Amino acid sequence: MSKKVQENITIFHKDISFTGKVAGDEAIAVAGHMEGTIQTSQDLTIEKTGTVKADVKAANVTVSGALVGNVDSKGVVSITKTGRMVGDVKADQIIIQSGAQYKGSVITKASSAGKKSQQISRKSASGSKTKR
Amino acid sequence: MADPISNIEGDIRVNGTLSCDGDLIIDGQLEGQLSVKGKLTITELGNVSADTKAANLMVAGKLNGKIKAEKGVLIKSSASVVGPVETNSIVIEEGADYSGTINMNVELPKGL
Amino acid sequence: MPVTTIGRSLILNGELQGKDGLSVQGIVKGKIEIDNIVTVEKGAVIKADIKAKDVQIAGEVKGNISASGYVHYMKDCTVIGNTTTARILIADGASIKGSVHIDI
Repeated sequence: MSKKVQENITIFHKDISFTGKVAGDEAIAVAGHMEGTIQTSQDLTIEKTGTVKADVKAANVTVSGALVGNVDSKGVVSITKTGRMVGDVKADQIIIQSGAQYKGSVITKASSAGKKSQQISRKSASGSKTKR
Repeated sequence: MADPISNIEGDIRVNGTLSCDGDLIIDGQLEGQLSVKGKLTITELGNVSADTKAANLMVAGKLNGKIKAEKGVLIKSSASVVGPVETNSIVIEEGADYSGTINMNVELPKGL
Repeated sequence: MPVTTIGRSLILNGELQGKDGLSVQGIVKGKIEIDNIVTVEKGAVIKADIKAKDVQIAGEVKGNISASGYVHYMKDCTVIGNTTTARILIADGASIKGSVHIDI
């Protein structure tokens, strides 16, 4: 198991609730209830027991609990199998696992799409089915 | 008898709706409207520009249009999908490209 | 008992409530109401009224403190505000500007 460089993380535990603005430069995990706005330059995780009503801005965002609000991510937004989200997502990429529930608009960066669509259109044009 | 599986390999332009009672696999290019009673699979080579209605949808290629797949939608890592999706279950794999609006039922806990 | 530690880089503007222990290393402005222990670490800045069971202060608090248990003013802490509690401990070097009311 590779050891990740220990980064600072603030965990709002299950029996803590916060209403207002959170801003900072470390990873944040929410296992309790939060309302307002959350902004961090690092990753944000909404744990299975977390219930968040907030617009959030972070690097990668993982939703394993409930989130009502918009997400502005500089990285990947993952909604896991226990995740429930209503809100818009702006990110590099979105991953939705089986069992997740999501309603909203998604805008993802087209950077990788360019590469993929090139491959696909090249194959279609040639008309031959080449399995990679 | 199992539902027959139809297969599209070429380059098809449909002026109207292409409807299919069973399952459909699209391996080529299609433009138009699609209505599939069973499972619709768009392979890695598939390139579809169509408003699409199916029971189940699996996309590994390209799909652009309004999507309605009640039973479930699976967007594979090689896929590139643009368009609104109406469904009861959706899976978007890592690496997949998706942009659009997803409309599905979300059960939220009390207090949200 | 899990303790929620508000990290050094975080700035909170609002109301923090709960039953878990709370430790603050960053900045909290607003209101703190915790049915447990609240620790204000060295370097932390709190601009809020604090209502808790026990309060330990090593950093800066600008606000009123109400603790049903005790308040421990540690070395080099700065408190500007009034305190109401059942028991206090003031370390050498602590700075308190305000009244301290011990309510037994």
